Amino acid sequence: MTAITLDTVTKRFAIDGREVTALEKVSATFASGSFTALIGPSGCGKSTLLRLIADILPPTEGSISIGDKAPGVARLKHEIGFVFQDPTLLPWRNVVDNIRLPAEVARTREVRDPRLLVDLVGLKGFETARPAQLSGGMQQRVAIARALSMDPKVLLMDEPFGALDEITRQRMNLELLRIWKESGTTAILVTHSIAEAVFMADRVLVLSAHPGRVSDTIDIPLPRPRTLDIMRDPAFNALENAVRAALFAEERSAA
Amino acid sequence: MKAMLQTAWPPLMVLLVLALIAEAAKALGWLPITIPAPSQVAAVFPAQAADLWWHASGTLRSAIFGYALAGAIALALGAVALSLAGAERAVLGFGVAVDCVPLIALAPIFVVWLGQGLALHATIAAIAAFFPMLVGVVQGFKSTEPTSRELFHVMAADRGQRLRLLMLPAALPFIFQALKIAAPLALLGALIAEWIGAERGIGAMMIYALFSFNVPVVWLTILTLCGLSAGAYGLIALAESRVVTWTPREGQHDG
Repeated sequence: MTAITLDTVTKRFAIDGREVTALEKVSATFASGSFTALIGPSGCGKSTLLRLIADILPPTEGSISIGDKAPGVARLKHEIGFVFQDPTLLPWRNVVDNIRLPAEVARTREVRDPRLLVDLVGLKGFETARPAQLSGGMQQRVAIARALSMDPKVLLMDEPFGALDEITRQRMNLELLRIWKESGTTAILVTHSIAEAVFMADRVLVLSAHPGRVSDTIDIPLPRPRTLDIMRDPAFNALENAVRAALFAEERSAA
Repeated sequence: MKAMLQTAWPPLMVLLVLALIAEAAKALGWLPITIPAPSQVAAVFPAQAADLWWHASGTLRSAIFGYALAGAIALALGAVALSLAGAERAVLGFGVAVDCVPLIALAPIFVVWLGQGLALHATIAAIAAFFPMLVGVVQGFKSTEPTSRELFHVMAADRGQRLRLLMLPAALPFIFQALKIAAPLALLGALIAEWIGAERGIGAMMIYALFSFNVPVVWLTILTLCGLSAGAYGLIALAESRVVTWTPREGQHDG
């Protein structure tokens, strides 16, 4: 059981001697094995929130726990998988060796067989290809496989498909849902796309900017497994509109 | 070997054509007495070959010692520049200062301290080759993306792993670039040091030929140094092509 809990977390940065509050008193719980989407305008601290959970940044105030551990402990135990906006693959390593990297760093055997992971993300036949030989979508799939290689309890994704075209993005989303279901990790996805948030998540957290706060939480009770057909469902559209209303309510109050 | 020949033949053809043009120009009496025909230079080669080899190997030895010294100092100072906050500008400033020193004026001063021998020649060669190496080391080790560093943090990599698995490979293309530029500079530095007094070295042979107005031998020494420089460059380029087998900073293509 690996729920993620944020308890009144505040994060401030000093930028040019001025203190900027990126996140203010954010409290949230992410149920074990759930899929949550974070959506909000630029500067709402979505990426910062992910980095706090991954122990890349320390919170200024408040506390975070992953299961019953602090983020730093979970990180050292290799329980966190992180997918960045860019694939951040090592260009001198081939696909399998990139996926193997976390195990190499942890000085253990891979928890998941890299060759099966290659298969899982649909890159069979590209095991020995270098990143430069792959398309953007394929590179990002390698990044996802790498994040899954230690079988992390938590999978954090920072707009992983932001740079991809719509068609590739849809395909990647479907694959990601399949992989998430199969791996049973607690997933958090940062996105700019309302449709993507509703399509993927059990729950959408809407963040507002200046300072970053959770302004709304919208449950997505759509059945799983989800297919592209669901996007034509009136229930899907109603949820999209609810998320949009929550986003723009914030925009209006900010203006 | 075949690939090497393929890359080598276009510049060789250019040289051959230039030599033929020079030969024709000399035959037509268009060139002053200070420029011999290529055939005149070739004609003195057999008589000079033994001398030339003895002097050239001396220059080569000085340049190699200087090159290695410059590399070691660049690596040490690069490490200081990157591990101490604020040290980078100071170190690069020092590098610029060293690079701005007129070697031809500095060399006689160094004679007072080091005498006329290998120590002097290697030191001047090192000073000539130092700056590009320093820049290569600093740029190379700085070339990792912030997200790559975050990735290694999330994977809980220690300092040694970060250096070995990320920073060093990322720096290699920059370091090879610097090594290629620095090799002819080290030879040139050794030559300058030999001009101000040496018993052995291409520079000494050149000065002796100049004073005895033996024009073809002067040109023979010039061509020998050109050959050594090109050979050194080529050798490092060959090593680079064996080590750096990936395309650095490859842009992603869509798909």
